[in-house]
Amino acid sequence: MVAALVLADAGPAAAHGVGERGDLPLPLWQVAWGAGIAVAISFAAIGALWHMPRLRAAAEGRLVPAFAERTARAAALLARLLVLTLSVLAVWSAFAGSDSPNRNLAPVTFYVVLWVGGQVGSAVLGDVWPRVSPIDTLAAAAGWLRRRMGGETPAGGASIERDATHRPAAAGVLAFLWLELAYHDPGNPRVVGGAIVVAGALLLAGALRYGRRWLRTADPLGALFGLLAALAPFERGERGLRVHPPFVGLARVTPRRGTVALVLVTLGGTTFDGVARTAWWGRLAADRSPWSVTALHTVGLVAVVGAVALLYVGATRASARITGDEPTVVADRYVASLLPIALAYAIAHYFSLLVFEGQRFLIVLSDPLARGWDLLGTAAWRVDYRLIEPTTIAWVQVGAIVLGHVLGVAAAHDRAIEASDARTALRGQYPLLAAMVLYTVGGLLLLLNA
Amino acid sequence: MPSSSSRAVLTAAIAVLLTLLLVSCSGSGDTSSGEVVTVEIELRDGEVVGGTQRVEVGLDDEVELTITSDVDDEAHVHVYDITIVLRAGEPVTTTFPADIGGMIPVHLHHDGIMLVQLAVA
Repeated sequence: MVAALVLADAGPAAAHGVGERGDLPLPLWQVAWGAGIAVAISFAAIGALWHMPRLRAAAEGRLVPAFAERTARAAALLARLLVLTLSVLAVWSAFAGSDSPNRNLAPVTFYVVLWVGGQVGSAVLGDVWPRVSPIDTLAAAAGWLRRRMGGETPAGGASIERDATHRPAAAGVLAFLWLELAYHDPGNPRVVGGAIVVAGALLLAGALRYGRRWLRTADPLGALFGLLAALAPFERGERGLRVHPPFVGLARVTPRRGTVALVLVTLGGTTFDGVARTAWWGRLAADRSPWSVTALHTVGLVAVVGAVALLYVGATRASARITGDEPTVVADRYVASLLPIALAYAIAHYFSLLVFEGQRFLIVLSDPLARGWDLLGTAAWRVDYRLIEPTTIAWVQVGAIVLGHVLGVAAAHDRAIEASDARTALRGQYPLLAAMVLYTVGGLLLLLNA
Repeated sequence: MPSSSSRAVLTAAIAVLLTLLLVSCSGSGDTSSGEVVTVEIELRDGEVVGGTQRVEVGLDDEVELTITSDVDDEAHVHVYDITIVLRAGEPVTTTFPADIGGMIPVHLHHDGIMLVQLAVA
């Protein structure tokens, strides 16, 4: 049988934190069909979609019944305690556990449970992170202690949240992506532990100084998860938990200064992950020293984020010229429609990671300090790499990207007609549709080379 | 303004496209199984002679991996969790069934340089 094909990456095992097994390249026919459908739907959307804005009204939804509200609150409290315990365990494991990424709790918790699980979980359950965040829990405990000792809690919570920007969060996500995708040893448990402690300390200090509400915009992952939560059917209103159809919440996303940057950084990061898995990139990165690899990946990450950003900025500028609005207004207007695409990219790249490394999480959880424990009875398990077939993974990848594209196009369409009259709205969204087609086709093409 | 009938045509067209896609889905890859795939790697001065390759392997093929290293060393087939002890100058052959699909890296030690990447499909 034909042996060698293409020169591949000679770098470290895990290009994105953890995970030894990579996804196979998508078959060309699947990529072509996916891209074709995406383009076809985009053209269909122009003519056949609705002509009055619909999403915002649909996002009103209704209040959940009282028992569901109580159950949700109880579940949130339980989750908060579990997440705090897990965080402490992960940090402990990072410094006292095995130095192999496959037997340490910290890397898999950080890159799989938190980063991927947090994004998908928020898109399904809503904005749960502020209710479970360990930093928030610690800040709440500190605040309670402070009040007991007669001190004052910081005031100004409401104005903090009104004036806060997402710029620090965008920088924070970029730092996370640098650690995960550029640094040459992202799975090193000590490094992960250090990152958690440093970031956690900074966020906790801010929360103690400015109040817990500061975390909602300043916590990089919290800010991102909060945006993705717009895709979920659940939303916490002033009078309680509301339920509405999924995805329509995109209409109620209120961008701040920096929200566009945050979303573009996230999208660019996942795109760069795709670039780094191609054989072409592997040839570039082959035979380099670790820090040389880091430097190359840093340049690559910045370049890809820049390219993704340039496409969006270009599209919104073109749209602004058509409708006569300010470019920044247009950029804010359409940023929510990038969220389904960003989530779709994350699912496409990390679905198999979640399935396989998620099993590893359960195994390591039984023995986080590598002392031979078996807390959950899972210590003797092996990761079952046959749990899902590569064909299933491929379908999920293409399906997610095409669905993300469809939702993005629909959301952009709704934003467009809400902002202008029917005719200019239709023309104003063409540059955005073109950008989305490029994102989608580009994303699919990257999956060709896995 | 598009009428409801043209909307119906559009929806029908999309449905047809999707159906075509689903129907044409099977038989995308070749289903050869049980073949023996020989992979030969030579290590010299800590580098793979000829560069690291990506080798296509069919699911359930037998992989015959032969590694010749100029120093005593250890290689690891990830996912399959196979450790290969290498002796200086001696070709070491390991045979295993490729029954797990995906991109499988073979590394020097646990996380050293990649010797070969097996694409098991």
